[in-house]
Amino acid sequence: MDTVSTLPDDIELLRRLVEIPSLSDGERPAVEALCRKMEARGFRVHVDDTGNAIGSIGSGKTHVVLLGHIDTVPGQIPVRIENGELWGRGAVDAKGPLCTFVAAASAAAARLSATVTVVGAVGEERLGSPGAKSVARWDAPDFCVIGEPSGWDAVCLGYRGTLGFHYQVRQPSRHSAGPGESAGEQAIAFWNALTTELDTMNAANGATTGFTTIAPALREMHAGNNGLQDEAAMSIGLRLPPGIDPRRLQSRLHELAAPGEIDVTGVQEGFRSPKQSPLVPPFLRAIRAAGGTPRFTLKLGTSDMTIVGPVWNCPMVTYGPGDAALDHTPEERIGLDDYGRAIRILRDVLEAL
Amino acid sequence: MNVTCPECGAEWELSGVEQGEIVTCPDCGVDLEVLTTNPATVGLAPEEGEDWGE
Repeated sequence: MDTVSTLPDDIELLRRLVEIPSLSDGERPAVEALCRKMEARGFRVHVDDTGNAIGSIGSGKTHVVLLGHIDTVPGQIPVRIENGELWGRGAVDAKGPLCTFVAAASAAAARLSATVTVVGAVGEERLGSPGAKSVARWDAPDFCVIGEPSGWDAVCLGYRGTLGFHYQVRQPSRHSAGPGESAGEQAIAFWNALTTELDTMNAANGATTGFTTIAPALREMHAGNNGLQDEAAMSIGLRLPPGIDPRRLQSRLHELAAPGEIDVTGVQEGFRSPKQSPLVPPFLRAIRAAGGTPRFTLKLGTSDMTIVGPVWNCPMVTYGPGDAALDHTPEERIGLDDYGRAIRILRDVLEAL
Repeated sequence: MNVTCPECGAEWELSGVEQGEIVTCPDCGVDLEVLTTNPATVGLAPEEGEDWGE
C-alpha cells in the first residue's frame, strides 16, 4: 500500500462539513456551506428546489453524476482529529464519501473529458429519500457513482430494497377465558405466517446468501385492550433482493394479514450492477495502482442507489472511504489516510471516463 | 493472445479487453480480472463480500 498525505484543504473541507449539524429536514446550513466550498474549487453551484447542493465541473459531453447525501442521523459526537482519524456524526455516513467526490472532481478538473456533477442530496436518512427522488427525474447520466462507505479499496455493486408496512388488527373486546384468539395472538399468528411464507419464497428463489434473501424485521409491536376494543399493531420492514416485485409481495401480504389490515409505508426495489460494468475497470486499476487489493461488496441495507439505479439504468457503482460498521454509532470516525486514498482513486477514475 | 484460466487451466484467446475488465472463463465459468493487456494475463476476479451497512 502506498503512503498517503491527505491535503490540508481536503481535511478542512471534511472537518467543516462534519462540524455543521445536518439532520434530515435540517440540512440547509450544511448545503450552503458545501456550495460555498465547491464554488471556491471552481464548481458551478446551485441549490435545487428540493434543497440539494448541486455542483458541476468540466464541460465534456460525457456526464458523470456523483450522488452523495448530506444529511445524517441524530447523535452529536464531538468533532475532533485523534490519531489520524476524524470523529464526528456523518464522518463516515456519508460526508466522508461526499467530500471525497468534491475533492476528487476538483483534483481531476484540469484533465477531465467529462462534465462531473456532485450532488449533496437531502433526506437520504429519512423515509422517502426526497433528494435522490428529485435527482432521479434528470436525464440519465452516462455514469453514476453513489457516495456511501465501503472502504477505499472496495467497489459496492448493489443494495437490497425495502418494503415497510404497518399491520393492525382490531376486534370487539372479549373475555380472555372465552373462545377465540385475542388481537395480540392474531398478530403473532400473522408474523409466524409471514416468516414461513418468506422462507418458502427464499427457497423457491434459490436464495443462498444474505443479499439474495428476503429478510423481515419486526421494528415495533403493541397489543392492548381499552375495555371496548381489543387491538394489536406491528411495524415491519422487509429487505428485498433485486428482482423481487414489491407489488406482488404486497398483494400476498394483504392475503396473509386478513382479517388484519396492511398499510404500506414505503417501497423500494433492490438494485445491483454487474461486475462487467464499464465503471469497474477504472476502479480496479486505480485501487491496484494505490497498492490495494480490490474487493466487491453487496450491501444488505438500502441507499440512494436503489432510487436512481432502476430509473437511470446507467453504469453505476457505490464508492466511498470509511467503515460502514461505524454508521449510526457513537464511534463514528474516518481515517484521514483512507479518505486521501479514496480521493486519489476517484480522481484517477474520473480522468479515465 | 492466449490466456490461461487460473481455476481450471483452460486456454483461450483474449482480445479487445481493458485492464481491470471482468471476463468469464469459457470453460468453467469463473469470473476473471484482466490484470495486464500486453501480454494479456488474467487472475481470479475480486471476491464478492456482503455487509449490512449503507
